[in-house]
Amino acid sequence: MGEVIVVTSGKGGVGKTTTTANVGTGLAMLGKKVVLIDTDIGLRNLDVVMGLENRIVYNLVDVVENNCRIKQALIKDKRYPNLYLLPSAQTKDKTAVSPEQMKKLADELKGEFDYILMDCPAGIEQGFKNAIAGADRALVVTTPEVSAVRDADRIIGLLEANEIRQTHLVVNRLRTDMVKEGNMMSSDDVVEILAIDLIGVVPDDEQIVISTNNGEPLVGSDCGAGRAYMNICHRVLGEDVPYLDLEETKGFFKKFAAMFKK
Amino acid sequence: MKETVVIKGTKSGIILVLSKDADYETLKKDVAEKFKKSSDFLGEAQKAIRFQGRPLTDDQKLELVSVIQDNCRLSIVCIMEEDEKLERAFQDSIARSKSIANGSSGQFFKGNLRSGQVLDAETSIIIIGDVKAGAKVISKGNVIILGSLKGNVYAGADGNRNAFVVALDMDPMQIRIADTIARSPDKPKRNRTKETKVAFFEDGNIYIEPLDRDVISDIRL
Amino acid sequence: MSFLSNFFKGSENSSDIAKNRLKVAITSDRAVCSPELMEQMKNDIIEVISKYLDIDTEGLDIKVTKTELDETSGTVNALLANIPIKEGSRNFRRRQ
Repeated sequence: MGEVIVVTSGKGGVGKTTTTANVGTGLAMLGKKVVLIDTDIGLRNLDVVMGLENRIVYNLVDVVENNCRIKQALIKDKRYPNLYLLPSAQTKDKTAVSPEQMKKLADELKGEFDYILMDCPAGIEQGFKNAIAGADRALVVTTPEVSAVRDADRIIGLLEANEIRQTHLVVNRLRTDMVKEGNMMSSDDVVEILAIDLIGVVPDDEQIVISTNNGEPLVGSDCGAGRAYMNICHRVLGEDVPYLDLEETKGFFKKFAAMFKK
Repeated sequence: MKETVVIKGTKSGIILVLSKDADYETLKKDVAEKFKKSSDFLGEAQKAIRFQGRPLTDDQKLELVSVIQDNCRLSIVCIMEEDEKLERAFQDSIARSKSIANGSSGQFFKGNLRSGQVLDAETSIIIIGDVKAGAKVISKGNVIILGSLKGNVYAGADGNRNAFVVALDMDPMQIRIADTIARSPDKPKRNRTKETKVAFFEDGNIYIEPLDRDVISDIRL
Repeated sequence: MSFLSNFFKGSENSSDIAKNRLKVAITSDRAVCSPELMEQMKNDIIEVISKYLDIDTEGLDIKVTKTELDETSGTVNALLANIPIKEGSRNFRRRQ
């Protein structure tokens, strides 16, 4: 029986879609059968991040409206045969789907997949309600910025109110150099404020931009973000993985340069 | 699943279109079910009926009429025979709409189509502007884009495999002609040049080629 | 670090500012009561307690949070007040 994980944040642009793509791909790399669902109806994005935008024929709304079977709408990943994407519709709006329909869909997919990842839209309206409807657990993504953390707190409250018991925090786009200078909250600061369990810290990494350009998630690759995302995947599976020393993700040369700056 | 029984209403009566593939006994059951479901919608009225789609014996016709009357509140006052003149008029108009779909008639659209927008045309369509990524054009005929094509196009949407797509800058996400879908390559070409190209269907595949004289001479409208 | 930040009073680094602003914002978000109301309540509490104790009004912190009473009753809202007593005033004040 599979598990439904909703990836959510409240605020837009903090990395929900990137996190969904990378955690989903990582779980598939670890041998799990995974489906990613883009629940942002009208503003789909997960397809381009996964590099599968040219294969879309049917979408989430087609499935819910019974225009096609679920299998017809699932797009197999380019690289991992046990990874699938159910894209969102671009031409409809969020009222096209109801939370009850999403729950039913999630329950059906649970029989077939180990993990069902819901990429949640920004905001707390219907799209959010759709995304969390069938969820067993949640990954709350935030960046160490006041606006993102405040919205994350609101989201955590709503998840609790909807009885989603297991909620974990991903602190995204952390810049160790700024934390050191005292100009960015550390992941500890964010955890202290939000008071939920941390599942991963992802450094701000320009490789993410490159990977999104190419439409290939970078999880597992030899860079800060790639390692951090893979660690999150292991922790999702319940393994105990020590936290990365984000400092080490810097190259030798940068460290050398940093020494001179001081 | 294809419907075996279709009810059509006209001013004076109803036309019952029956599948010629299903056997008579299933058909009878389906007719009963269909009228039972539609009973509220059809209401209480006196109607004439006409059967279409398959040959029926007189006994079968009478039996179906009694099935209908048992399952809804309509009373069938007479059975009309196939009207040949009407039939021919029907067929003529179908043929006419087909010739429109085949590309001999068209519409214009001016403006850019952006992500999430869908342009649905009954005839061929000429777009003066761009079709951006995420936008979609659906036409029963051909699609001519005087601009760039980055989105999706579905030409020959009613099954016409002779439909084609032309764009001044051909870089589509997906092109579908009748039942065949072609998608863009996963790795975009680095030195792609803007060139007028045509996409057409041949031998089970969709081909995209520069719009030169040979290709133009192959186009069938 | 704390020495330095005390020394340059007012030039607290921006991550601490962020943290403190967030705590206030989130507290009022959770409390579903306005910051003005919280401020009023805080002043009232200070007034009452000051009758009996010499307290550090600067370090005083009140907030409404969710807390678990026991396993069966789930979470409830609770008012948490952290009220430091000034050093040297170990004894209760005499009532004035």
